[in-house]
Amino acid sequence: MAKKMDNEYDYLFKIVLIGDSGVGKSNILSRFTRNDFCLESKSTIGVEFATRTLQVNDRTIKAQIWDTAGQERYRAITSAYYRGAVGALLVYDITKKQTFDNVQRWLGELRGHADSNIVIMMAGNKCDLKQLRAVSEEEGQELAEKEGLSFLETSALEAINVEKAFGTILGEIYHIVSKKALAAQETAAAAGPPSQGTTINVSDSTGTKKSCCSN
Amino acid sequence: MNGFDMDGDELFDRDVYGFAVRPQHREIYREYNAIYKKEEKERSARWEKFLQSRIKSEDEQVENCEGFDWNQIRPFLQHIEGMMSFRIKKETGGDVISKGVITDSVNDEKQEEEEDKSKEIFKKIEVESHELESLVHEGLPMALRGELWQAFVGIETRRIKGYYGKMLALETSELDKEDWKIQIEKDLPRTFPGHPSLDEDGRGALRRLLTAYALHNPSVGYCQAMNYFGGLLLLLMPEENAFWTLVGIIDDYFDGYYTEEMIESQVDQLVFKQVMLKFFPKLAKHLDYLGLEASWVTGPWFLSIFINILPWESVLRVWDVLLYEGNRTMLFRTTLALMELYGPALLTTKDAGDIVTLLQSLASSTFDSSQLVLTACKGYRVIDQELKLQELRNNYRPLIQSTMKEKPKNFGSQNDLALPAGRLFKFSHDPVILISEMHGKETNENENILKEQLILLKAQVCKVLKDKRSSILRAEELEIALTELVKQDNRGFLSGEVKELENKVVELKQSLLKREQENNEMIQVLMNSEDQHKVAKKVRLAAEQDAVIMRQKVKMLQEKYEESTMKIEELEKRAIMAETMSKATQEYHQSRDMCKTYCLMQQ
Repeated sequence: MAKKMDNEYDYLFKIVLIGDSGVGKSNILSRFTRNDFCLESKSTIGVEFATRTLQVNDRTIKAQIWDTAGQERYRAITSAYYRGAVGALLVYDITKKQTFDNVQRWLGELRGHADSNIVIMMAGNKCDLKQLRAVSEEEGQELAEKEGLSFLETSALEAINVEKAFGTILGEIYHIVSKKALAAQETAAAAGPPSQGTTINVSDSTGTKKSCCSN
Repeated sequence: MNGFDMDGDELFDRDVYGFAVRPQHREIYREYNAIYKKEEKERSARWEKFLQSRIKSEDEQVENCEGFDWNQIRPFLQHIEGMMSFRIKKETGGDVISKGVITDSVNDEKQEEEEDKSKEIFKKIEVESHELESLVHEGLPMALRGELWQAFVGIETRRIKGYYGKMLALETSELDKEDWKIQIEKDLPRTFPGHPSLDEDGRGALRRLLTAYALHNPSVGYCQAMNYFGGLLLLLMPEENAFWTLVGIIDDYFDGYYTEEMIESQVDQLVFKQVMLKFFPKLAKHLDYLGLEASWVTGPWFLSIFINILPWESVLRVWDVLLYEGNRTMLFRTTLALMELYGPALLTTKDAGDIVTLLQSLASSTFDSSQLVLTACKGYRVIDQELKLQELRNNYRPLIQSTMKEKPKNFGSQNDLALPAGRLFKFSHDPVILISEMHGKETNENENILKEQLILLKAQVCKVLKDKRSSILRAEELEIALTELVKQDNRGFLSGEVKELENKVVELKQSLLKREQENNEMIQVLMNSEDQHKVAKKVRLAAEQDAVIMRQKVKMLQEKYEESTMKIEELEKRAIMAETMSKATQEYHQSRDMCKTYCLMQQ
């Protein structure tokens, strides 16, 4: 706590942005981190990166966001970026059914390479293009419930729900982390044998800044 | 197609090549644009001189040409190309076109003949190649860049007449459903958006180029990043030439890089990690400490050959050298140069986010392209021979290949340690075990055993990682201890001097003591005199008080004196009055007496 002034944030959370090519991941990133939307967007090679610091539940949280290339073959490379990620925003394009159908494959990627406790939010992007809609909000909601994901429809262009999507992920992560910190304290206080096999992956994997000294 | 208007528009929202300049870089670009112009002028003059002398020695016909005409250097360009194509054959064993559909169009005799010819040319040019190399390091003139690139890649040797057209003819509407074709369509508008040359026609050319390449080499098909390469090449050369240049780059220089599994790209990142450790151990340690894989940043740099990473002038300068050398060493050199230039700044960062953000912004503002290329080519000139990049690649390749094979089986098991980086660590510590295990895997068909092995391996890796962390800490402790030891060592060497100094210190201390004593004495004297002074002061004060009293008394006496003087005056006045009165009385008496006498007499 004493280091708070030095670091200027309480927690550092790594988030990955994944989903098919052209669903608008890079624009979601620029909307969230720079409040910017570029109509002339360029293809992402490998990965792009940006950060933003924001307040969640009275805590200062720095979100470190890795925006990955969507082309399938890049998964060989981008899956390395899942390491240490505590949150993922899985994006599809509501005007392209294929990108929604591929959500399952992306979930497979996450389950294969990311931490098992990773917080996943599914986002149906480009919801401003109502007349071109190919995936209904109900379909999205249904899949999200089935897979146990949070869900929102977003528009990077019109700045709809982008803030909320990241806020929800970060809030959930914070909730898990603080719960774990509490549990750890209780365990330490009781000094008894650990009864439940709680994994500590989320708080263990470079997620929190608190535990390590930055100097 | 080649050659841009140097005086372009002065708003600086686009550079001389027509690429967008980010708003935050416009000011710095304006400054550098003047430098670029100067450099361009100088290098044009150097190339002109170089090529003129070559032409004259090779071809006596060229005489009295006023003002340089680049067309006249074509014969020499062919020689450069000859030199380069000799290299192509040497590297690929004449197997340049095996990936294509047409393979029987070159007969062996002709090839041998050509080879002899290029050997001859190579010998001739070898002498000059040193000069050529330094010219390339200083950059190619804009007007010649396209043609020199083609010559470097050796497209005339690669070219098969009619091949490009045939590839294009293979395109049918059925291809539109192919993933690669869909991806190309997605990326066309996302390639240098807004570039004046990439209008509808430009995009059409890029579509054809990428489609033809995908049909030419199905093992690569289309990979994002090729859209940028194609776009760049089309700005510098005709469409078909751009195709053969792209073929040279992707099939040859970057063989295995952009294929479905992208193996060579991953291999290069493992190699780079080693290279980084050798040249910048401190920075590598810092990255590790912050939990950042260097490849997360450098991977995209290599894959895009710095397009969209560095400012355009720097990108082109790097490409000049890379295409001239005909291998990927320049990627390593450039990245090392960037680490050298920005390492000190990077070491000050406190988390992975900061370091990436800083690195991105520093790279994108590396406008000093000459400094960058000079640092890369001079500072890391021999890394290829020194580090044997190819050998390192060969060492790491099996690791990546096995990881890629394992991937599907890995599904569902949440473990990040199966990733190359995690494995690399194990590999570098215990290579023998891993290699034997890998061979075992390849031959053993039993999946269960494999799975068990995998779990064991992962556990091992976990352990090793833990060990690594603790050994890093231990290493740090040892480092501190070492510095202490070194300090002590120095003390031994310096002990003589220290003793001398100590003696001096003792002397100084003694004299200091003396001084202090003197000082004390002085102080006492001063104190005494002060006391005396105080007494004197008291006396003076008393005297002053007496004086005051005396003065008062004097005043009083004076007043009394004045009073008595006044009284005396009064008394004198009274006396005078009394005298006058007595005189008057006397006179009265006299006159009365006289009257009495007179009366008496009268009577």
